[in-house]
Amino acid sequence: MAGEGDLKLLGLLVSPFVVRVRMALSMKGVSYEYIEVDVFNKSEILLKSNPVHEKVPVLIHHGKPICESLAIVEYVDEVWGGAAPSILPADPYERAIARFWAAYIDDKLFPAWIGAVKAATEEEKAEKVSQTLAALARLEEAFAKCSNGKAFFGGDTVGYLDLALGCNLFWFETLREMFDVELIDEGRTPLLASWAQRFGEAAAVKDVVPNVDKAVEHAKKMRRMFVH
Amino acid sequence: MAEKGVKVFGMWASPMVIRVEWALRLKGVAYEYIDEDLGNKSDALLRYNPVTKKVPVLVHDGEPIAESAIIVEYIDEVWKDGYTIMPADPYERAQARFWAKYADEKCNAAIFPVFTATGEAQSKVVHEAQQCLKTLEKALEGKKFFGGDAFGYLDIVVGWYAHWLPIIEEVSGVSIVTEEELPLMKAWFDQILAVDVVKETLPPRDNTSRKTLIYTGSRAQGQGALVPVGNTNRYQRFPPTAGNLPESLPRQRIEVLGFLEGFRDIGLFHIASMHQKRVWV
Repeated sequence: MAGEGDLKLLGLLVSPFVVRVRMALSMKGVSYEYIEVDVFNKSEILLKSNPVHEKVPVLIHHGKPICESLAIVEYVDEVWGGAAPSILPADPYERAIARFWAAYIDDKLFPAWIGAVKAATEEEKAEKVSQTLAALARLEEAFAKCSNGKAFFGGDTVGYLDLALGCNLFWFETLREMFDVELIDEGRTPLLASWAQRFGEAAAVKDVVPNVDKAVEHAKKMRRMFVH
Repeated sequence: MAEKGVKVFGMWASPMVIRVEWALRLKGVAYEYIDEDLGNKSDALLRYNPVTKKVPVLVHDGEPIAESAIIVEYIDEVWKDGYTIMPADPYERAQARFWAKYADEKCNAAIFPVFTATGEAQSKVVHEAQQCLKTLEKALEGKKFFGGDAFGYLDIVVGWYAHWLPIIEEVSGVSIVTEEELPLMKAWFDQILAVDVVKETLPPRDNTSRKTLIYTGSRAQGQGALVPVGNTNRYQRFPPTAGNLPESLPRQRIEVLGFLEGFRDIGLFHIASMHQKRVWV
């Protein structure tokens, strides 16, 4: 299905937040113009469309920008509401729980693992990894409750919370490659481990996940710039 | 046996809790309000919100939901035939969610230091708070409320500024939201304070009706409590030798400190000691 009117996405290939939005668009079968932005040397279009944060992703629909990946995913789900599948659960209570955990992922899990990537010392890295594992332990419990014995957080098919967490998976592989650390492992978080496998294979989201090499390259660039 | 009804676990001075009360009242939903002592959280709260252990928590027919902005959306969706809280248009909804996140992450972080900074550092943080609010103010342009003609989601999320910022300004001896710097926000404050559900729920600035405040001091400095002194405007340390708490505080300060406690879990003594010379008369 073609995007309604003009639809552009400003992004960075290796940003998990951008990947999250691309997964949502892919689920809806919506076409859009993807514009890769250099986040180290911000372009005019980014500064104009997200003056508040100067960050990606930014979805520009009919010339109007929408920022914040979770808000964009909800927007996509609402605008292309007719296009199956639905991203957010139908039930208000399940929606609230999904939103709670999505916010938890962004507020607690993300800063921990990105902190490990940027860590200046081994000590700091170990601390951040430990925080990441603690957050994942919580998410393991959340999976048990939300999935109700089914394949995904969203039930039988990939949903909002699957996207919220799933977009981080390629970065977990990146951390394994860079630091030899296993974040989601069968021993500690068996439910998440088997979910991660299924999510990785889900057709709707597979194509927008970048190669781990690109993420490694970006991580090294970040470390060169920010770690002194 | 299924638990029925609506409960709100809160703290009387918390701006996050009040959002939930506003949303429920707009919908005409009856609820049981349970006030928590954040220094001594109830088993029920910890059971309903083991992840963050914070207030507010809404419990609807036995099912708990945490995070005030998420709770407000839930209320709007469940009681969908009542007052409309979220904008109808998807783009407007995305904007409202964006600004709610901006306010909670950036503005709150910019406002809080105003209360704790002193001297030169204070004018710098006041300026930063104003910059943040100026950005947020753009979403008010041409409108009575953030929600347009009617009090809506974003008004619910940031409406607490209308009550608390003037208090913070008074206690800290600064001006943040002025006609000059933030005219739209100032006008919006008046609109907010005139809304019925807001008037019904804000803690009073004057001491006409009071709630009993038992406050436990910071963990480092030793425990103690501040209790109201008869029918006066003041609170005093109890027991008299408790920790290093100041001997007495006027109620206005307690409101703000209680709010900060709920907001940031900072010890009373710490705040008091920073303002020792300036605040106590």
